[in-house]
Amino acid sequence: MFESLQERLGSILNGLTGRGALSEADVSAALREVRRALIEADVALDVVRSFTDRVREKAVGAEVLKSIKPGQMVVKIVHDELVEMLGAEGETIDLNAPAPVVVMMVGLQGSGKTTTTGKIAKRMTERQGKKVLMASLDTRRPAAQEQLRQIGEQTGVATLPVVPDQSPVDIAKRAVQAAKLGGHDVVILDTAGRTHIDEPLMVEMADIKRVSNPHEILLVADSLTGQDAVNLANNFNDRVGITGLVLTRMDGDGRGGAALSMRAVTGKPIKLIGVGEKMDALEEFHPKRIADRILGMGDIVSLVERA
Amino acid sequence: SRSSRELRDNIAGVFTKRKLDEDTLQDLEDVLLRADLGLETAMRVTDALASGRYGKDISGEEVQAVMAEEIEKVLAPVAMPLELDLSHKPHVILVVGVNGTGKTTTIGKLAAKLVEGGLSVTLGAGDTFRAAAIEQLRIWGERTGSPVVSSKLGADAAGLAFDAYEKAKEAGSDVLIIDTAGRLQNKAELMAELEKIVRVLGKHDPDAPHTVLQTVDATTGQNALNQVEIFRNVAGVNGLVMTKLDGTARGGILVSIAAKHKLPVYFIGVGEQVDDLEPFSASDFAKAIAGVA
Ligand SMILES: Nc1nc2c(ncn2[C@@H]2O[C@H](COP(=O)(O)OP(=O)(O)OP(=O)(O)O)[C@@H](O)[C@H]2O)c(=O)[nH]1
Ligand SMILES: Nc1nc2c(ncn2[C@@H]2O[C@H](COP(=O)(O)OP(=O)(O)OP(=O)(O)O)[C@@H](O)[C@H]2O)c(=O)[nH]1
Ligand SMILES: [Mg+2]
Ligand SMILES: [Mg+2]
Repeated sequence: MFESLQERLGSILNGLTGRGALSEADVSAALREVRRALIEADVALDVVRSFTDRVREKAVGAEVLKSIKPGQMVVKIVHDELVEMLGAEGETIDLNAPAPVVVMMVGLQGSGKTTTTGKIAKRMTERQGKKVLMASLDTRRPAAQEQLRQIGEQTGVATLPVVPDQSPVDIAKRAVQAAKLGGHDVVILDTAGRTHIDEPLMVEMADIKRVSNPHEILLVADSLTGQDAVNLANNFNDRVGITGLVLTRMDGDGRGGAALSMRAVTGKPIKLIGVGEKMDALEEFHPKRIADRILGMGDIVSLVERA
Repeated sequence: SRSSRELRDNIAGVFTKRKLDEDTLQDLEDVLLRADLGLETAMRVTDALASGRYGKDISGEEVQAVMAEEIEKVLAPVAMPLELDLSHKPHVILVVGVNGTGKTTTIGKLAAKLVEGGLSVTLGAGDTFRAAAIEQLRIWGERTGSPVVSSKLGADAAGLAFDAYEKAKEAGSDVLIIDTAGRLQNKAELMAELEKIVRVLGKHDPDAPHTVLQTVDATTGQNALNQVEIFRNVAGVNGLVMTKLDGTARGGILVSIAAKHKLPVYFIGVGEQVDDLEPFSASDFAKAIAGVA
């Protein structure tokens, strides 16, 4: 597998024997390795660049603590900056709005929207005692509406009855109406997957937003996404103004650099992560854990923190 | 296509007639990295490009052409048509891959192609896990006029595969395509289930499954290399389909996969409709990455 960043930096910087401040040359040498590590983790190239610039600023001239090696010092600075860029934890779905609060799920095909809809609905029902309605606006993919119906059965969450031949926009209106009449606290709209360059479908998505006035618009994206993460996040954000991100398939062995890319280009918080196919496989986002994962490293940071 | 146009602008922006020096090579490497080739493969391509040309003046078009050539060299050996051995009746195609990569949709598209070619096809609904996976495949069965063998949600997938073979044999089908549940390659238990499906099919015909097709999503980054590595080891993947190339992702990881595994790439998926499955062309794919029109 990957050589850890610490090992790489060690061989470059350990000649410095841990005294004094980091010089411009030391930092540049280290940042070349940081760049490699981030690219291998699928962080988008432009984001890698702005990230290394920020680290350079902080690292040049930084005092190296006596008890640790310069390589470890750089890793700590890199890690801290990564955590900061990934954003604060605990920013979860906001339900602070008049009922029914509309939550709209968007994203590319197969990213995990329908599954995540079920997971979020189950969580709100069980943990917050909310009355939730789920509605499938996916009239395109074979059996997509049936999928959400079955998930509703599995989780015991209500789903909007399917009416054949209704357009996604009409279903959205009907869902909000039904939630009002039914006294639901939350209505979650599961939309069809779409590529961000499919113009008619991007227009449709904006229309759905217009008629349903969502309080939250969550972009559901695969954590295994490569460099395209910035394009898709930017495009979805431009067209509907997302309020947060959900990263799925975090139970895989990917390094998850897409998290940093999408957070960096949209500035929107990562609200939840999907960690499995089952309906309870949804977790809060912890920037520190994802930072460790992107850098592919273990306990170096705690080592530095103790120093 | 739009993506190749963007890329062409991209290259044109960094590269008009100038010396092929370190800076220029770095810019070219960046273009490849943005297409998800990964560091190692991107450097291999730029090294090949630089050899014999370093320090010389070279135009943007020349660079693109050479870049496409270098990528095509890697891809050409894996561009192969899917061949069926119809002495096996049915020829069994098992479709595997990570969640949401396009297995079920690809099966629908492939069935349509085979039926159009005059073959009779049976589909096996081996995804007994995901909600409405069976119904999804059934709709593809209706669309393509192929009977679907299915069991219930939560049933044993290997058992379904075993039954599907029997039904396909009885029906005299030429081809049996078996869908499986999506799974991440690091889930040992789920991968063991896949192994079991392969083993059980072998009881009917020691050579079955004859084709083990893995779908790889073009938006996936470096993890796709790992996906192919492990699915190949566990399930004996012997062919690939790259899906979702109709977006802006260029699927450059396929170049690394081709270099490492040399597995045939039979088709690319370019949409959600039944005819959005095209043969894989090494030269078209390479040109799209290099930004040649
Ligand atoms: N391992 C794992 N699988 C997931 C996760 N989230 C979703 N999946 C799986 O990913 C596949 C696609 O999920 P869906 O919820 O159908 O995705 P979607 O975005 O609704 O797909 P479309 O509606 O076709 O665009 C399914 O097999 C899910 O079980 C996750 O966090 N981890
Ligand atoms: N744009 C585009 N979408 C595709 C393509 N192939 C499949 N899809 C879509 O991607 C989503 C997932 O496809 P599926 O065929 O359900 O994927 P799967 O691998 O069977 O998913 P699971 O069974 O849940 O693991 C669906 O919305 C498909 O319509 C393609 O080539 N291009
Ligand atoms: Mg869906
Ligand atoms: Mg499927």
